[in-house]
Amino acid sequence: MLLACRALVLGETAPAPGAPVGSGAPYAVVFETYRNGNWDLFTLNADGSNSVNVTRTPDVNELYPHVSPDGTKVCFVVDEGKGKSGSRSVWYMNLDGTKRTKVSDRAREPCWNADGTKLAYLRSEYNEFTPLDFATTGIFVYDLKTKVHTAHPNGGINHLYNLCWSPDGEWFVATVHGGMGFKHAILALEANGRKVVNLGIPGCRPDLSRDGTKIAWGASDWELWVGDFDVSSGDPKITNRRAVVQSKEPMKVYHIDWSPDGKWVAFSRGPEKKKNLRFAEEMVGIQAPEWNICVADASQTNQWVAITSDGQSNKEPDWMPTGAGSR
Amino acid sequence: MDADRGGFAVRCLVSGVMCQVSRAACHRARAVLLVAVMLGGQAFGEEVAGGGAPEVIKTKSGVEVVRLPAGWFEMGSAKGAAAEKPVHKVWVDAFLMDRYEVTQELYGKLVLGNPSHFKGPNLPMEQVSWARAAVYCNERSRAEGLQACYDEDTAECNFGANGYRLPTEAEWEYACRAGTKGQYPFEGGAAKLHDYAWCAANAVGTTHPVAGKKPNPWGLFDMLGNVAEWCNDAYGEDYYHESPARNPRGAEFGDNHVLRGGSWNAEPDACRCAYRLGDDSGFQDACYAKDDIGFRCVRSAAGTAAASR
Repeated sequence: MLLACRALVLGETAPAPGAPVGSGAPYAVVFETYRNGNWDLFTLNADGSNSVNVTRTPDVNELYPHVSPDGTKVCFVVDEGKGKSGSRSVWYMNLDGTKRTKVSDRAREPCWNADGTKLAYLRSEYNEFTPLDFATTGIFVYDLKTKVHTAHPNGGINHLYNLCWSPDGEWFVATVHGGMGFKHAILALEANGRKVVNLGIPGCRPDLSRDGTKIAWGASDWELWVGDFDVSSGDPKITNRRAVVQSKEPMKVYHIDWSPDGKWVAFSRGPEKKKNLRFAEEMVGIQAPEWNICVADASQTNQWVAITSDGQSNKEPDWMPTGAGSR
Repeated sequence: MDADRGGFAVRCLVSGVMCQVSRAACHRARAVLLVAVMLGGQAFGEEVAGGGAPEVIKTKSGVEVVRLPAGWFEMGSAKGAAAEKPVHKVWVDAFLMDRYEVTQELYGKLVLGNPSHFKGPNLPMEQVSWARAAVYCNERSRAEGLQACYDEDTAECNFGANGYRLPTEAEWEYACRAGTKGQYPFEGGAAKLHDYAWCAANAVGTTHPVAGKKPNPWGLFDMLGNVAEWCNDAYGEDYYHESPARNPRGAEFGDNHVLRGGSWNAEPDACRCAYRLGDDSGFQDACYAKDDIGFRCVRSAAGTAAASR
């Protein structure tokens, strides 16, 4: 399919004529959205067509979806309760909504291994609930077949967020904030060992491409970058870094995610509600009025298009390997 | 003033000036000044309780605060940067100020998620945005049954509330000077800074437990160095040209808030009483990563009785 929309001119808040995004992205995305007082997971073709609510649970809040590499399942978190007495747990289900399975209470930010047999997740730091991204401790791996949870061998892991597992299974990448002796950094952590490598790139929320050769991340509230994830000399390093989306106040750009073929990135974009003291729109579970899902050509800069327009807190896009209508 | 023979020498605060005198002489001097000021039609602040250094009070949540008297002082520095000029006379009402920078232990009792780089219960909070500092103020107010000052949706500060807030820039400098008028609130200038502050020359690249150095004349610790402290005011480079004389509350607009006091990585010039800095307030910034910025709280003394009364 071809992306029927046109790129927005940077800084504009409504679609306007501009350069076409380019060739089509034959995929769909799943994302979180806040509608009628509830968070649900929706799928949508990358051209903005065929919106489908895959959770359909008006009383349960589902967020932070990640689709298994084969496109059959989705993992996510469920938020229940209000304030400090609330909770966040990790779940997965088939993409048609069947076989909904809880993985762990007090857990967040799950991601898949390359063959979809395991989920890694972060344990919540506190018994009381906070949506703060970095309030986590430890990495745990859940085997879908044996249902066994295994703690990561590095017992000193804490304050990570936005976990992503490399396709070769060797590394996790994640952001750390005020933890593990780091001020703030994007790290690569050995999946089966204790080595921790500071990737030396600013910002947060790294995502690895499906072939493991590229990384994308938010360099700031206003910029999304991509680079090569180079493990040829042993420890990962980031080379050939460049901006793929550059925004400016008040429009933040967040949650970048590689398409299966590595040609596109999806991201969420919306205004900063400047004066709220507690939480940021980009955080999981925080309403984000006027935020929408966008798709950009990863080989260029600022060639992107919004594929949602209703602004109903549309965030955390994750690519599916098939079109939403092909299931 | 001469100390009365046989009397105890106490530190006496009269009209913003600290003297070493007898308690009786202190009271006499105050009485004279009070009469003079009242006759002149000028409102005069309350006395320092007990006639000595400002009273230290332990709050319901166990935090030590110092009760600071109202008074006039000269704000700014004729020798400093343009933003510190002109030196101008400012009045601040009486208020209570935290004796120490907010520690990680205190913060953790009220707010989940310690973003500090350097970890330790008695170390000051850092990597804390202005917004998160304001949230802590509100939580502490609630914990002590006081009215929260900050509207958490708009960040507006209700100065009429009786709860905790960040100090205005004027309150901060008034407290830091503690009745002194020099670049530093102690004798000896920058050469003696290491006795009172953790800064670049002695901090060895990290924060240090609060109250590890000498306090200022009003018993406040770490006003200079360790972590720079958020003030409530929006930062205005030229604000001193338009600042009101009484209880100034900062620039009307601005994305940056005022930081005061310098920090563990600061040179002596940034650890002066009058040194001003404005920095991104870090509203909602999940990646806020400045490990040299912390805060302390204040609350209005209006309606709070001195312990000795």
